[in-house]
Amino acid sequence: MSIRRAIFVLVACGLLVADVAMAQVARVFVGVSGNDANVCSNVSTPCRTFGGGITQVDANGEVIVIESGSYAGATITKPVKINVASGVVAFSALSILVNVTAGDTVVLRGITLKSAIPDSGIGITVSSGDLIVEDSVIDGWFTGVLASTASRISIDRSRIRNTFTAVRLDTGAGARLFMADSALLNDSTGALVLPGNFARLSGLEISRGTTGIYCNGTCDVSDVRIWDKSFGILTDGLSVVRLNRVEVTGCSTGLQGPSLFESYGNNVIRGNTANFGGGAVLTPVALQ
Amino acid sequence: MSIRKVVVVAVACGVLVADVATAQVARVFVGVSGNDANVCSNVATPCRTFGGGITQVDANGEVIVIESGSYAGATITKPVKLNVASGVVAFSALSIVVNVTAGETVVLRGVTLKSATPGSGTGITVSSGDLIIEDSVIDSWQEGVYATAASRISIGRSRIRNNTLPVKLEDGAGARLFLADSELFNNFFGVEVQSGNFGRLSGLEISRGGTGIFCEGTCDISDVRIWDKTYGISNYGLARLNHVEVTGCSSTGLVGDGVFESYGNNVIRGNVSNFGSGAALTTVALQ
Repeated sequence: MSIRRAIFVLVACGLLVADVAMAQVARVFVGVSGNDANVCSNVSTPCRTFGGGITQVDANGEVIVIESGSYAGATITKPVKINVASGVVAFSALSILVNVTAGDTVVLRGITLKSAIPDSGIGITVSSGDLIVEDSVIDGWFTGVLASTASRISIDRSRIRNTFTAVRLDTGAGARLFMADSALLNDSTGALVLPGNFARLSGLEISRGTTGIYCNGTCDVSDVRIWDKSFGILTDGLSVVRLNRVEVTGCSTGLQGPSLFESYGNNVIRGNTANFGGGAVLTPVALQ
Repeated sequence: MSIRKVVVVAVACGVLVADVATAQVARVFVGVSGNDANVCSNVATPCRTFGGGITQVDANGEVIVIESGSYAGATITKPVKLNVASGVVAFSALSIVVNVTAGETVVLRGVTLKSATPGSGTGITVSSGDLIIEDSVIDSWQEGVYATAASRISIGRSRIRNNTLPVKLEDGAGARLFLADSELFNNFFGVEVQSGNFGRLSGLEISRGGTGIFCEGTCDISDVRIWDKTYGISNYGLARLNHVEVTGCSSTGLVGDGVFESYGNNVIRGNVSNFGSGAALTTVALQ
């Protein structure tokens, strides 16, 4: 190739790249047959990894996974939505880090995150910004989902299992966890709400492992069943726990004090080796 | 081929096999277009059977089924997770046996297990270790899920139908069954929590067939509806009823001389006989 022609090609490529970069990319596609160098807004030329799709899509854009396969974690620094159809397994043995501007929201829908080595690593770390997790499986991590700042995290219709801690809100983070309609199975600790955090937990099935809900913050707990844990709900005296239609049965200790537990008079704390331990008592509160 | 060439090929293959064997394999893929001799960690070259995938994946690894098809049972001796996307039917007319070290957990997500001959065989036998079943269909077996040891079995969002026994915890096994958000239709016997076992049964719809729930151990039963059975709940152990409805049963709603604790929020009504064989509710206050 002559120098002149080479320069022409370089310039042409430069223009093409600029064009791709400037076009509005509301959604991109990701599949195992893809390549991160593709123009991934075309469904017939998808990207190969979550990260490749995220790079190409606009902030607030959608990254659509079209084939089952393994997609290699991601560090997410802009508010994107990863959307996996319910007929696709989008697997990753690598972690996801959410680090967007406070107030921006990332969505993860339909992913399977599984630690390669049991009880190691963090499935999803939220170090800044908000996160919605839907229809996902999180398995085998030391921590399934970790919030270290004042993030709002919504998790629903998901299964978090075989972790050391399913969801952890770090001490003083000021995070808010809304977890609904999900199962926490064989996690050593289910929800770990450390001081200075808030949790709204509803429609959960929690069983197997050491502690169902470890609440040292403020926890509204409704329509939750906890069974076959060492401790159903564990507190440290600083916490506020409100129980509405909660069943804690078949545990070594049902409710572990010293904190007070507010009850609307419609709960079952029964059939545990000890129903109440550590000075735990129910404080009746009237429904309105 | 000359002997020398054969040796070279054999050595090369040996090196290749050794390389494959020592690589960490966190997940493999299985599909009907596959072959168990493939390197199944590559999604383009999946295995053909559950068993082929399980053999290649690490302990605690994930076996991902990528196509609808028939996948030939499995004997599972290490803690793996079978993951079938909800848009894929991973069918097997052959049984699954879970026999892992006590304390280890196998996951079956999205499988369809159906006996080739109605009323015969066992869908899933858990002879050691723990099991999580999600989003699955278990149909037409003599026993759908059968625990013979002190296993913990969690079943969620599944449909268990047309079996003689949908779930059975063997007498004295010390097993714990957590069965939630599922439908049990046209099973002849009930969910059978035999003596020395524990059941946490919630969010179930149970109808058609002989018995809804048979409890000789300890059974926490919540948000369960039982309808159109011969017997709703047959209890010779301890059953706690919270938001349970037993209606439209052709013989008896609650039967047996076990303790039925009620939180005063149940409906045992509209059965030919609501209570039989000495069954009575012991009221316990909600807290």
